[in-house]
Amino acid sequence: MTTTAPAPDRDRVLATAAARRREQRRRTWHRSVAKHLALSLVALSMLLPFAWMITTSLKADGDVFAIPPQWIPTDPQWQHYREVFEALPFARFFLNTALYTTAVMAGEVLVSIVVAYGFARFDFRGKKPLFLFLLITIMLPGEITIVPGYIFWAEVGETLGVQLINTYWPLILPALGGQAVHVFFLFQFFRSIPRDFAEAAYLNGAGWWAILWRVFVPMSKPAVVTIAVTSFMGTWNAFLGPLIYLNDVEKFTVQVGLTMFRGQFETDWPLLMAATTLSVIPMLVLFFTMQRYFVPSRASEAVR
Amino acid sequence: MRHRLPTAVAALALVLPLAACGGDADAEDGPPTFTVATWANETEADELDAILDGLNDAQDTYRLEQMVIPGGEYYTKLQTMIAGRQAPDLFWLSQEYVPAYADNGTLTDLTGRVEDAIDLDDYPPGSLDPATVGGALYGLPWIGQPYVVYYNADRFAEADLAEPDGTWTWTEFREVARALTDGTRYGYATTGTPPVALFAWGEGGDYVTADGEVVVDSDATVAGLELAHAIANDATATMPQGLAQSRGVESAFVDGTVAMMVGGAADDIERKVAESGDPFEVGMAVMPAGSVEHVTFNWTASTVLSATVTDTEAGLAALTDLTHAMFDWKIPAPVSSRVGDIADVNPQKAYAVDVVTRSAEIARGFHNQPQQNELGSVIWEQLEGPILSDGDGRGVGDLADLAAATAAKMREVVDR
Amino acid sequence: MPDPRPDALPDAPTGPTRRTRTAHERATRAAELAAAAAPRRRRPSPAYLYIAPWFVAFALFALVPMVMSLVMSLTDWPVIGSPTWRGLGNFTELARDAQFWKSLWVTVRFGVVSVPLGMAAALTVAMVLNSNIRGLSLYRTIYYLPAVVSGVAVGLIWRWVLDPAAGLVNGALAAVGVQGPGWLTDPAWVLPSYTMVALWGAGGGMLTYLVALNEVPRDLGEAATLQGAGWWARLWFVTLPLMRPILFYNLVMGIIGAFKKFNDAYVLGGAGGEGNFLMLHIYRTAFEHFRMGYASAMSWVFLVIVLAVTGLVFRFSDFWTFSRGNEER
Repeated sequence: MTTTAPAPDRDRVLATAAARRREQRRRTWHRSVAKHLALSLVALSMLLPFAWMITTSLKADGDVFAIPPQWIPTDPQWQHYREVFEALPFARFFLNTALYTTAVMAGEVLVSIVVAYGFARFDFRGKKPLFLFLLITIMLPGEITIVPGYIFWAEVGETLGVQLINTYWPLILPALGGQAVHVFFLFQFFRSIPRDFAEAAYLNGAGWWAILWRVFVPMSKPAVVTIAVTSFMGTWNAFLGPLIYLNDVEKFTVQVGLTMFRGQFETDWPLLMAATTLSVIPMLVLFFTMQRYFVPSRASEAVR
Repeated sequence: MRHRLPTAVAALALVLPLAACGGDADAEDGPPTFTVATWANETEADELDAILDGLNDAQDTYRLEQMVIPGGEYYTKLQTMIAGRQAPDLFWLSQEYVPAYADNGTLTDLTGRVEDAIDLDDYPPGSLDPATVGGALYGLPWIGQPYVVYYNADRFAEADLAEPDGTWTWTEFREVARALTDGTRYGYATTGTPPVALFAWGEGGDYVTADGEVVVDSDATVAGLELAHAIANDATATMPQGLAQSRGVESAFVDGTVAMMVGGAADDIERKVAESGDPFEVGMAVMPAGSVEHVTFNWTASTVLSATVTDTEAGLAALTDLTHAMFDWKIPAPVSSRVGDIADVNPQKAYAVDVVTRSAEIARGFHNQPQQNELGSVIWEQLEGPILSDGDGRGVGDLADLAAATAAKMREVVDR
Repeated sequence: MPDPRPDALPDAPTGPTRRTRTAHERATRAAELAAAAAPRRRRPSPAYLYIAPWFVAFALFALVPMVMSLVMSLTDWPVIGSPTWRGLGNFTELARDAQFWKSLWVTVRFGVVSVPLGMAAALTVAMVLNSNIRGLSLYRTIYYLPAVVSGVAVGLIWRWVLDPAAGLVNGALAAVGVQGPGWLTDPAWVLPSYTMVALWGAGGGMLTYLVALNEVPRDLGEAATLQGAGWWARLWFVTLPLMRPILFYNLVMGIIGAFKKFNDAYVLGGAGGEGNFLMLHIYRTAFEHFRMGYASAMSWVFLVIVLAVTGLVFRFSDFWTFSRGNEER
């Protein structure tokens, strides 16, 4: 019989267990403090340039390049944030950019899902070369096709008798074919979804189209949200395209508008930084609200 | 059902920006409408719009509309538009771009067609050259500012030196700079302003002649390069290059570390000094003379008329009217009769009107070539950069050899 | 032979009208599936319909400009004037163009350092921020912040931060008595500066890793723990292998991104040509030197180089095979 240990022994065992638990809790607590400390330190270095941007936006013109740098403006110029909207039609820029970004994002996300599904789920003749081709288009630098692209849209417009230059069409239409980078990303997710899931749905009478939206998309929600966020950021920050295609100031996007603060003789740094700060806010809000799709899950435990 | 919403949003977003377009077509009858492309910033754009409105109200021959192209990417967009046959009718060109644009047939030749409307003799000789290509005039300069020497008058008094009277040579300049240099403060600092070419001009040399011949390896030019090298690397007179780059010449001048610097006559130096923690009296002097010529650099930009404009008469009228109107603007006008205006625009410059006037008379630009940007980078990388930094401290060897190597590379570019 | 997938497209009825199949129907469809797997004369795969939108849009909007740039690479084209035929002249000139190879060298050196460092940094951040610590959303947002600001704004901000005289970094160094270097003005410090900027922005890559970490099943980790595997062992043998697809994606995109580096370099520059990344050099050649034909030739050579490098990555990975079993044939 080995079941009952002598009483003092059991007490000792229990005491040690409690001590070990305490010790563990202490260690966990220590580790957590260390973790927060490290995280905050790095976070601080991430934030410093932004702090710089925000304090500059509040400085009087003469203080911008003062040495030593002023961290807290002695007399914060809050009116710069109002002046941004007075100096340029920035409200209009925000509206333009919001509409343009929404259109591109909707097109890129929805169509990329469909295309990625086609590549990930099926084996078909020509799959490999077609996919490689798609990848290669990512590698060609966009800066070099901008002039041929512009000529193309100008000529198409001329031929059809419609104005395409100075409109958003050349910026939005190509997005309706999806975006190769997003297709690549989703492809990597879709194809790791086990075949059984699809088959179960198929046996329940769902077609491939329905399986995409009822099985694949819900199972890849974080991945879909990721491309939505990336697409939003990319379009919101797009510069060269809107700059080239849009001529009228009232059609400008936020990014193009920002550069109007840099002029012939001097750059209006406080206003430029105030406007840049404002331009970042929509993306921060979007990212913050999208957080719930990246909840720490099963995975966290595995690697903690 | 769930997927209807994004689709609807997409459709809406597609339609809305279009609603904003429309109505762009020129009126069928009435005067032609010309687009003027500018790199104005937000305040400048408003001021220019007011100028254009004034012109539009004053006559019925043409109408002008501004197209603002944000500064940094001005030429990228302009060139793309020209390639797509969407060129603006009038546009600004900085001096180094004029030959390339003229060479490719994108500009209207103005020779003999604007004299009635604008007094070309009012332009100092140096300021029309950069708008002239192969003897033909392609643009009307609307801005020009000669380079001058700014100095810290307090430091001159402290060192018991007479302030420069505008008759000095580079040798005298160097002596003054030595006298103003002590353990922590320097007489002079440069990181490329004024252009090194200025020293070559002063010795009677040049990089490229007006006819486009590369002469950067000529004896006179090499003499100028040697002078520039000697001054830039004289640690008893000039702030070491590395330090000047890291401190910034202008900020070193403003905080009193450097007693003399070269800048554009319209640069806002006086205000910056007045607003600094330790203000001093700022003086302005004409550029020192070389042993052969007394010359300074002049940065100019022109307004040009696109070759695609069909109603040339109306276009020329618009160009000359606009140029006149811009002389009244806040910018330093490139014509002799307007040099004094600098004091009206910026009262802090009132003390320097004489110096600016004298400087404008001796100012010139580069002999720009169609490949000017490319030549510029060759010159900077192979010649001027090493001269200023003494080959990053390793020395530059015989400058004649360096000039010969640069000339070979430049000829390759020009002859291609 | 009847179509084995009669309702492949369009969508099967959804919502309330959908009914559960009877056992008989299931059996029939299972048989259909089996038949589908058997060798037979096939109808075109439905996949073509799914991938068509991208290829149609490409053919409509991108193909012509791309072909145009390929043709222009055989010409002398000053952008604002008309092109003249040059045959392969641009390519032979390119072979002897020291500046092009120097830019390539700068770009490659940057990529070799910053791609692995950036991936490691982003992965580390993602793993740390994939737990239930307090203030998680805030941390994540802060770490993602650099990715939110556009390339040009990043360049402007960093130009200040790295300014030798008035900048943040040298200010901080001066406070502890160290004379900071001329970050972008001293050729030796240019690439380190860019690496710093890249690492600062690495948090942006965290997002993709977070998504991938979500996919790693918890029980696998637990099983490993029970068998006595430590943190590193679990990371190395369980987590990373399961994240292969996304690591691969990030590696490929990282390489392409490093090669295509443009925005911040455009604003930041760098002494001694050390900031003259390939794309910047191409852009300048096209728009400042008026040599669009030559720049197009460079871009196509650039494409081939990037393709060769990523091709190597593909070659030494199981990209095409690792999910074989999950495809429909």
